[in-house]
Amino acid sequence: MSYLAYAVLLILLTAMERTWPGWLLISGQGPELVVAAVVAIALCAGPVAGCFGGLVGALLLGSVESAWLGGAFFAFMLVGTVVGVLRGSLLAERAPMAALVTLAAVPLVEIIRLLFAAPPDPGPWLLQTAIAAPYSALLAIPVFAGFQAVTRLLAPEP
Amino acid sequence: MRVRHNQTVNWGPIVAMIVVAAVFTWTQHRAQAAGETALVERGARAVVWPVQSALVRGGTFTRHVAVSAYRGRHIVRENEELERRVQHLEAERLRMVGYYHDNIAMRKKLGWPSLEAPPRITARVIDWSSGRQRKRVTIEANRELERGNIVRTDAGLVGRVIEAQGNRGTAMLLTDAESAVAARVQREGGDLGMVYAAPEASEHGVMLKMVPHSHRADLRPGDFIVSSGDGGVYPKGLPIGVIERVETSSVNVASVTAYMRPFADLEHLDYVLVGRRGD
Repeated sequence: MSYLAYAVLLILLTAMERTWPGWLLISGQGPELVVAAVVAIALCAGPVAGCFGGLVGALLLGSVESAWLGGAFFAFMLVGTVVGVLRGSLLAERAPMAALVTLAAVPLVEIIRLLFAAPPDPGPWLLQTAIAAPYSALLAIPVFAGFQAVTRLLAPEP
Repeated sequence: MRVRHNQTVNWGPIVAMIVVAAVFTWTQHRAQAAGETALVERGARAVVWPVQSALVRGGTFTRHVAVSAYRGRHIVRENEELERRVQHLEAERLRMVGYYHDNIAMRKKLGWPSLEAPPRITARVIDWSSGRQRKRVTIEANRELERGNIVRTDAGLVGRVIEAQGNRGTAMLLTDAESAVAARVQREGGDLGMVYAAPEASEHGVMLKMVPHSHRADLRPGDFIVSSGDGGVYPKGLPIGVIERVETSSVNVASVTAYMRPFADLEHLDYVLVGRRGD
């Protein structure tokens, strides 16, 4: 049941990421809400859920962007699984930690996707990533709160 | 309090999901090789696009409410002015309908084929691609879209629909790295060429470039560029842009490239017109 709720939230966040209002863009760049969501799912529910979040998030975002799905799957599922494995040991299940992990995950995802589709000029890419990472980290706090509430509601820990 | 979770990872479901991801990637490859869209992509879009459409509509409604709350006093005056304009336009429209019927009657008397206005569809932009080279938009129309439909604004050509799914579809803009339009200079005996995106010249806004087919082409700043209709992808005579500067190749002085500013505002598209190739 919680996985279904994660999927629904991912659909909503993918749509939000792709229709982010123009007046909230910073230098034409919006936040990467799907990365924040995958990190939040992994921190709240562990590696399997994180990997699931990465699978669904990459499928939704990659399809809407008409991007190569292989690169998107690899990047998002890797982030979801690694964050899930490290939760509890290295990564605390807290909103500030979600923000910090998102800050690191956004450039990581961008670098992995960059390997599969390199831009002709790295300048704009660097600037966009430099803006997207802190912007996404800031919004990772409410995103994490949402996923945490859903997890506690639908899959309470014993 | 820091929670310690059981460190044993159940790798079975993770491996299964990796296999699913590999299968999805493979189906995308197969579909792309056949010039189609994979079923999984179509399914994902069918789920996300309606939500995007609702968010765009909701955002517009909220903006309108906020603006009306902020500018309440002026709205009444603006409304009165708009009502006056609507009345004037309605009178103009009725006059045009009269001319239209006169035209039909005259064509009938002359034995000319009837001239039906092509049904152009208005579509709302609900998604912008964030790719560095891929400049695409997702549009939502009130009728079914078809692959190959021409997308334009009243100002000029915007691009064409490359993927259609019901009344939603993806349009490739002229600024996309894969876009190419057969074009000509709108002058007597104007040169023919191809129009491509020109990201290298976009420091001061969106630019396109025209590469003429022949050497020693006569391209001048201020020339209007329109589609030539060659190749049958775009219809003939659609306005594309105006040449701002012409550069000569440093290797071959006979080889020139014209950089142009598109007529359509490709950076700020809210609504577009969609027509068939033959329109």
